[in-house]
Amino acid sequence: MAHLLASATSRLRADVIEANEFPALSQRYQVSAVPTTVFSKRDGSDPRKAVGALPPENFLGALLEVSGLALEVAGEDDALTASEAGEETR
Amino acid sequence: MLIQERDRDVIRQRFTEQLVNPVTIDLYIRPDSGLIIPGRQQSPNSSSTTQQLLEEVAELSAKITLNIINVAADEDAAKLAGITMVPAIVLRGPDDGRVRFFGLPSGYEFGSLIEGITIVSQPEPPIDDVAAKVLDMLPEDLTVQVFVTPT
Repeated sequence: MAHLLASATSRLRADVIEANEFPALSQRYQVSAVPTTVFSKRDGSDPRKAVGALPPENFLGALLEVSGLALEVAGEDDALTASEAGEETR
Repeated sequence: MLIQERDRDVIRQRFTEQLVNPVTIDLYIRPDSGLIIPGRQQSPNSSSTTQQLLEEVAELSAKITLNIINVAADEDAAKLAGITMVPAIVLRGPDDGRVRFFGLPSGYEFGSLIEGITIVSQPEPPIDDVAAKVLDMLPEDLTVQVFVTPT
């Protein structure tokens, strides 16, 4: 999922990291189970961590959350909109 | 050989059928010095195994080009590419390298490597409409890091 999306937009870079080979980085994000996915801004700030396999909608939602947006899927045609994420959605 | 003959045939066939654009694989490595310091734990470094694996993969399609960069000899190249850990694998299709692996892609992740090569080779990545809309909304550059272990 990560690599597929990264290939579709210049906004996203996707790294697959072998946790045992890079223990310092794994410890930084307190990786204790795999897969663990860390979403962040390109400079590494504002990281959000998810443990376990992520359904596509959760993966996409995490991207928007890091960007300060909220995912809203509603209506019969699954109209998709984004809005500023308020305190309640964080 | 790290890749069994039976698997080589399957991968070769898949590449023949699915690779569209040429793919460049940049492999950043730091070869082992061979120096063992008593009393000091050796840091794991799978550079040589990763190099062998990717050389075998690159042999399976004429559309794949493998570039090997020794970061000990060419630090500037690694800095320019933003590579701070090795071994690092950067897959490049028509666009710049946003699909990367760090560490030896073994076990399940070997399948992810083959999948990644196929993905970056496509003119139009096969994503659905919802994913495309979300990506269009992103206001700034993001990074996703997926931590895995060999299985």
